[in-house]
Amino acid sequence: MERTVLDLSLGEEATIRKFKDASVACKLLTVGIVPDARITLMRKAPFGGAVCLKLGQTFIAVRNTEAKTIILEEIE
Amino acid sequence: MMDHSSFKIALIGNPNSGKSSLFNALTGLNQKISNYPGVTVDKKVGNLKLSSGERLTLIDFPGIYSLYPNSSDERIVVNVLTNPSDPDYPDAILYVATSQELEKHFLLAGQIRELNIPVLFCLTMTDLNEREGISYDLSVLEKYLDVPVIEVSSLKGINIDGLKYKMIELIQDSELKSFDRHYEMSGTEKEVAGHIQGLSKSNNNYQNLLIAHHYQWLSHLSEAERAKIHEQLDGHSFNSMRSQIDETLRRYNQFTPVIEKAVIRSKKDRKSLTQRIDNIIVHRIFGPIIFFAIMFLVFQAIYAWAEAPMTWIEETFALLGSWVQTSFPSGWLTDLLSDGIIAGLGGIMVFVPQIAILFLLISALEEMGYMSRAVFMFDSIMQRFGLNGRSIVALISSGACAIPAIMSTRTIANWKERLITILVTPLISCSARIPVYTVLIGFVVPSQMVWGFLNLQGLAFMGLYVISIIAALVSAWVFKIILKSEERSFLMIELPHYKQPKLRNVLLDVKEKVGTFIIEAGRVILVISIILWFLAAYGPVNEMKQAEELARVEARDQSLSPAETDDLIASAKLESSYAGHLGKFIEPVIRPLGFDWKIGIALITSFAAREVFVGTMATIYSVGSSDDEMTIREKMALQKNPFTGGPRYDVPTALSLLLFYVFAMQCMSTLAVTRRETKSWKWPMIQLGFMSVLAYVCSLIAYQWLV
Repeated sequence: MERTVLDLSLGEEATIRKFKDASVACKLLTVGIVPDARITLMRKAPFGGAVCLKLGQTFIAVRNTEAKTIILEEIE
Repeated sequence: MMDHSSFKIALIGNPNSGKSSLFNALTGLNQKISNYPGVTVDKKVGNLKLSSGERLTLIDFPGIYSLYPNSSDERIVVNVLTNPSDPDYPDAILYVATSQELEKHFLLAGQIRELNIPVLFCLTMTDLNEREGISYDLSVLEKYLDVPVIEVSSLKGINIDGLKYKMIELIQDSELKSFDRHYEMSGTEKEVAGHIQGLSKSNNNYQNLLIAHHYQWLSHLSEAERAKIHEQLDGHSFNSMRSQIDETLRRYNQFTPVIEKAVIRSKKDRKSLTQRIDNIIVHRIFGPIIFFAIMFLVFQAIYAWAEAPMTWIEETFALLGSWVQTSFPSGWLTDLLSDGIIAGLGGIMVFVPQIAILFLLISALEEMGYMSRAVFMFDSIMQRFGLNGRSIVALISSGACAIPAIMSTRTIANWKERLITILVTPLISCSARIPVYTVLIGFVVPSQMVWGFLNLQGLAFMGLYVISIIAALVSAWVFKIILKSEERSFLMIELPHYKQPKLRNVLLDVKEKVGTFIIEAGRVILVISIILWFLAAYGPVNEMKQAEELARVEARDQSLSPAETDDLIASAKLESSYAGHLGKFIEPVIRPLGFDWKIGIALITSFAAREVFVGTMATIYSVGSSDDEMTIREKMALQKNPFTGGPRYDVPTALSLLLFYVFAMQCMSTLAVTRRETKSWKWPMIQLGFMSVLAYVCSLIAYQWLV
């Protein structure tokens, strides 16, 4: 099973490998969610449904449905 | 000295790039809001006088991340930038980027510099660099971008003059020098752009490529042009999405090493202040509690602060009206002026304090970075009802007025979610309903304390708000099921670093919102007020005369004072006026709700604005000379129901009327704005329809059940 951003534990950082869905990728790319970028799962929304991600110095909130299309590099 | 007032500089940048702050710092109060032709996105234009005496025009565009936009306000940027004959097409671009998150800004910057428009790259918020431990090598950035780069801080006012000086240089030497393209188009892209060139107004390859990507929605293309482009693209293996992704990735690959080389971060991975605040503000349990506490305080502030200026505005317009009545010769023109126009204007202006205070607070919360946290927290709940996290801003704003609330939905990218938000927003109790609630609530709930500290009427008041919120969410859920949409819904929102709100930015935003309300709602309310004035002041001539004479006789028999006589005459005249006839005409329809023709008149006049109900009631019950809600309520309490002999405003009738005002679509201005935002009459009609049915059914059930 490929690991996605949703599989990260809170505060864990990982490297983005690729995307599952081209139409979602189109949007994510524009804010810097790109392959090889380091991404951290910061927190989950109080009522679920969305997560807050950290990229460099920027915090970006996306829905779980989008987050699970971001596939991560396997940990060595 | 040359006049460059026709020289246009566009401010372009990411959301949260400090673009609007810089715009405000440069133009101050010399800015105005207008609309882009054909679309409903506000355009902020400002004038700037440079030290050389030259003047130029600055246009603040909505923030975008890339020239592949998502929402309707982002699309406007691409619409203008791909059309050299657009009146807003800039002569130069001021690209605005925060100096802390450079990697975020270079994608759009790279796209922008390929449009053949001179660019000045402006790094903002430099005052934070030291605290954040950030430094960079400007010469590396300048060399890579191949455009002039300047650092400023709009908050501290640092180097704004230097920026202006660079602008002078830009004007004087606006001839475009050739530069290396960062992005080499693929073979297919080149071919496609080449074909578009024959059809478009642009001879820039990149612009033409953008047209190929976006031709389906670009508003400067005619249907014929669209069909031609479609035909051209059909022959190619051009995959727009693939091409967008490739372009974006190649740009990142190119500029990422440059930024890594140029930027030095001395403080690595420390837990920022923003993170520590967020641990509490968006905490699983505290987050929602804090949100509701903030909203409670916001609405408390509105009622506490708005009351005095509202009374003052009401009194001023009342004085103005009576001054016109006494100092001008009596006749229909004077009546139109005092009872139609001045009363109508008063009806608009009286809402300004509440709207201004709400937007003052919302705008401050937005500036601080709080609103996007609220969007993040409530997105999943909103989604269940077919709304978007961003709908929360509209729903809160509609507590003051649905008009600016509906306009704030432009940031919602998904059409279905945006439409549902627009449709249900007017259900939230707005400030125009408050006077109606104030008059009626006493007939339903006694003024009494429960548990020693809670006012029962206050609780009922809150209950009406809760009912309105429930109605909005349930209707949204119904629309979610009915409306079909293929468009995928998504949410992607930056949670900006917290910052201190700058008063100037907040005040300018409030000015903009209030201005929109006065113009958008104002003209509709004014026109309707004049029509309603006519309906209430005129009727079949003989009937009006007869009614007046009868009232005069009655007043003499009862030996009423002159003021009481006037009130009685006004009431009799209203009964025989066209409005009275209309009220009687609709009486059979509203009788099952417990309403008589007098209430019918008030329902009709409420179409201008709901609070007109109070004034109409005052005239109907012959206390026209008083505008005090308590006087009107006392008079209403004395009315008898001719059929039962009991009070006219008994609990079933008053509750039924209250519920009617909670749900009914009695606001022409909102309908007009819905039409504008949805670009069709279909949606405002659906809005009017479903809200009327909801109001009628709820009132019917309440009345028939209780009576």
